[in-house]
Amino acid sequence: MMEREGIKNYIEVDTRTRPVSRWQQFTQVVRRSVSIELLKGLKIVFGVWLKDESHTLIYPKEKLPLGPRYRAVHKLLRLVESGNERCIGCGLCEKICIAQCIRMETKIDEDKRKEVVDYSINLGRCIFCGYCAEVCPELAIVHGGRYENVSEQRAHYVLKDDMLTPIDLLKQQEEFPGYGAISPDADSKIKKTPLEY
Amino acid sequence: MSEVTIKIDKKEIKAVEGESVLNVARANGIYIPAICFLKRTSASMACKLCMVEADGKRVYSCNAKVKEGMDIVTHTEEIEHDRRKIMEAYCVNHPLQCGVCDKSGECELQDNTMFQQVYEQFQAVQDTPRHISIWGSVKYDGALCIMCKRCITVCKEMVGDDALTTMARGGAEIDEEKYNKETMGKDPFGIWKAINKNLIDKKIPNPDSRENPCTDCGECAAVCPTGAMITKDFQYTSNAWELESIPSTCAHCSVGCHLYYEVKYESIGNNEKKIYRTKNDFHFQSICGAGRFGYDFENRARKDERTFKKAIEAFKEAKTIAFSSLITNEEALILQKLKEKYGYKLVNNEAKNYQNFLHEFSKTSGNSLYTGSVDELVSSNFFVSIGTSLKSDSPVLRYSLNNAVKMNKGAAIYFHPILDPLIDAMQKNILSVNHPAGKEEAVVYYLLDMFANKEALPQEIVSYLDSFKSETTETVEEVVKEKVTNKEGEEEVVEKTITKDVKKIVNRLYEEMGVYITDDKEKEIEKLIAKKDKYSLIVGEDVITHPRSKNIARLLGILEKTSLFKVVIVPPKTNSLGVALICDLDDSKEGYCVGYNAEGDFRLTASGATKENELDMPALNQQEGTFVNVSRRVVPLNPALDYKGFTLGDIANKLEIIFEYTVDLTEELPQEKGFKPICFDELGSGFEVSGFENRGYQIQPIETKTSESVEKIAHIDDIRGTVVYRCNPIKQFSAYTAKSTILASDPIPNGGWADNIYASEEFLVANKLSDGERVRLSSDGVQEELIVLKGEKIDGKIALVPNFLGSKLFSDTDYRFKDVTIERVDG
Ligand code: SF4
Ligand code: SF4
Ligand code: SF4
Ligand code: SF4
Ligand code: SF4
Ligand code: FES
Repeated sequence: MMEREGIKNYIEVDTRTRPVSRWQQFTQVVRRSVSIELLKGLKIVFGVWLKDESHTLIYPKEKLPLGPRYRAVHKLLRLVESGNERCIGCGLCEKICIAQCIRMETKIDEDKRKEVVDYSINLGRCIFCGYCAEVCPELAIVHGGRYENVSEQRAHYVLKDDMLTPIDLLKQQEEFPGYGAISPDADSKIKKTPLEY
Repeated sequence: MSEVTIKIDKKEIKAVEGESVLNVARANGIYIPAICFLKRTSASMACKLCMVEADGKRVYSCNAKVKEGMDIVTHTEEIEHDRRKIMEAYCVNHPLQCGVCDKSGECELQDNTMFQQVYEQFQAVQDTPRHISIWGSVKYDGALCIMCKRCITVCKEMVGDDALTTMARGGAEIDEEKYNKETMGKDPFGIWKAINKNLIDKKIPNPDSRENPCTDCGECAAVCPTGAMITKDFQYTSNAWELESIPSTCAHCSVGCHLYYEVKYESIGNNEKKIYRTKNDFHFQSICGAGRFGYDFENRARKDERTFKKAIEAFKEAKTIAFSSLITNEEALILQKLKEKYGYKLVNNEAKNYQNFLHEFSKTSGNSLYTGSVDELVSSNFFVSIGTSLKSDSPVLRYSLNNAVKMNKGAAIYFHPILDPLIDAMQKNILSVNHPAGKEEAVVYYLLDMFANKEALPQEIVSYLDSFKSETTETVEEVVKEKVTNKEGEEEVVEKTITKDVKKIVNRLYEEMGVYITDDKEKEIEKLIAKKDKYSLIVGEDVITHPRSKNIARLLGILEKTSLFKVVIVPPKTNSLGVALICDLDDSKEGYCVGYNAEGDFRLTASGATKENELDMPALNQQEGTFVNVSRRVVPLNPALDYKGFTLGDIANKLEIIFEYTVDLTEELPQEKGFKPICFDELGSGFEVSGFENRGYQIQPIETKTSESVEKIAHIDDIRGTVVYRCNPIKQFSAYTAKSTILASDPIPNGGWADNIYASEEFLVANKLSDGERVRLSSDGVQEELIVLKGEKIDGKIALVPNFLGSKLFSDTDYRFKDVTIERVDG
């Protein structure tokens, strides 16, 4: 076998047991022709059909459960205790986004703090890479489970209000365990700063 | 200054003696960390990061001067350790708020913390309560301040307002048992103690006066390496890295400072560009408040075909084009071409006046232009300023003068009829001489007397100057000590009063100047001049508009030719010099008139068309082109924002002056006037690391034939009584600055509205007026109603009448002082 660059030389191993003697070959042919394997198969099909045990999902009525780290349309989370928006407008997500599809508007609010007036993602460009969620220092922008997008054109914007946890559903807000979430061993990695109080 | 050869990190480098090691390193691309360093001011030595080893000894490179044979090592293990410890010290209690800090991404604290790889903290001290102040347009957050003192230094040594100082932070003491020189190193510990001890404070204004020394230029915020000082216009509007930087030229005054417009999309839903802030290369260029905050003057217009057609009709009908000097050189050339083709009269009285002045000047100076510039200014050590209220007319010239007096151990004399507390508070060795209005001609004669080389001076001038001088004998009483032998034969010292005749020269020129220069003053002036070898003279608009301007111009020409002075004749408006060089101007209007940013029967306007007969034009932050600034430099203007309407170029094309882009004309600017045939895209638009200004090119004066006829001082009517001065508030220059909403929201009351006059306390008292009253000013049958406000930073009996939006009382060519009658308008 020629060895091509970059490709390992694999040895193919055939694990099937094959009839060896003439007799064995004969019996295999007879078994296969006379047995009722075909009907056995049909029996399973009809059985499932009759018992209504189909494995086929009837989409969009039914949907598969998603893994917790699945990366679909983004969500903007709130602080659970106060209900305040987590996003501080640091702009890291906007900067890191390789599709350049995040934009935000900020201003100084009445309390002289930075306020994120609006925030948008162009889902038509987003490649759902998860960088924004990973870079976010506030665990504010995360991925959600909504993977269906319909749009009449390529550009498809979601705005802050579309992504932000509605304040009355704050209780139902779940942490995102995927990219950007705190690792279980985070504590052990922290270098402590001395304090004088 | 001799050249020396030094070694930095084994690399051989040639440098000028007396330069700082840090400057030399930077100019040669060798990186030495430094935070408190500002190129044009003295070293404050606050950060110590710039430490290097020179011939084996630790020195601070921002302060150490290069010497022949010096061997410098920029990195050793010990230095690295100390630098890291310094950065650790800066990070103690520094709020972890980069996420919302406006400086993030361009913060020198961030950069250096990363560069020194500070990933851990070993020091601690109890934090102090947060201290936030708002000073005019600047917000100061003490928690973010690292006490590098750049703000204090720049305000004192560059701007000249000296408005900032330090105050006690008032927090806990560092536990010196735990942390000390031994644990941290001497320099890092010293720096930590300094940060922990102090904060920045605005100087408390002199309780006796209303004066707040700050002119709200924002330069302190520009130089701040951290987010401690931020200008309010920008706060929280964008992250720095999202902005696109467009190098350009400030459009507001003739200093033509280099600046960057920083732009980004307007909003999520609107892709049109918007200017979010301006920035300056503060190591090389400072800008004033007008440049920094007055950037939102763009004219958002669309193509209006109907009005465009009307405009073409108007041009076809017109006999005159009137225009202001707020246009680019290329536009001026278009107008000139239109004139050449269709015989229009080109009317711009302010530029014409300036052109005449330059012309008269060149008759005696032997050069087509003055030879001074800002570069000359900052390398001079003796200055005279005459005929300009420097702080309002050309703010950055004032900074340069202040800076040069400080850095070159120089001195200056400021001749002006108005007492200016700001000028008096600048560096010491700046002497204000207040002559009455109208006496500028005599002052220039005085300058000739003091500074011209008498041998080179025409004989008639010498004898004219001598004719003022007479010798008198004065009898003075003097107390002398005398040794006498008394009756007892002992020697004794007794005091005796004798009278003595002394010869004295009396100079009647002082009378002509209307200033009595006492013997003490004379001595003071002598002291100021002593040991100075490079002179600069700033000549302002008062002189250009003076009734005797023609003669004064010639006298100044002679002064430039026969003295050490390099003269700068400040163009009154942004591009007066460019217009004066390019356009062949006429004296008066005739027939139907098209006005470009000026009055006319049909108007082209860059400040927004509102009427039927007005066509929008791009504002100067939407235009591509060049200016000629006060330094005779042809500087490029790059468009920060798009312009979707019609331009003067479109009109010219329709009138059969064909070119594609307006900047195609840059290389066609008249070479006989000193312009060079360089195309726009080849003009540099910034500073190099060494500080070299690679920005356009400088127009060199061309030699001219001279004649020497000048006149004697002529007496003009005294301007006394109720004197007002045509002068805009600091930060207001034109319709552009007036349009800026950021300037309009100026927290400093002098921010300026066009229908105010700004009066000194004395003026109010003398005319029995009070702050906020409506008054009617009249002179020569012209009346104007205005609101009188108590102005800041004005002394003497005077009121300032702004004309940045025009003024009925004053035209642009009127002498700036006027005697008016003032009466209160009731109701
Ligand atoms: S998932 Fe990736 S592409 Fe999409 S917005 Fe985030 S960073 Fe941008
Ligand atoms: S990274 Fe997070 S906190 Fe920062 S702007 Fe994006 S969403 Fe907001
Ligand atoms: S305010 Fe800024 S420039 Fe001034 S000392 Fe503090 S950090 Fe330095
Ligand atoms: S704004 Fe200008 S004048 Fe005021 S404190 Fe800052 S540097 Fe000084
Ligand atoms: S207004 Fe004049 S002094 Fe001020 S920044 Fe602009 S060009 Fe410079
Ligand atoms: S730069 Fe030299 S001490 Fe700060």
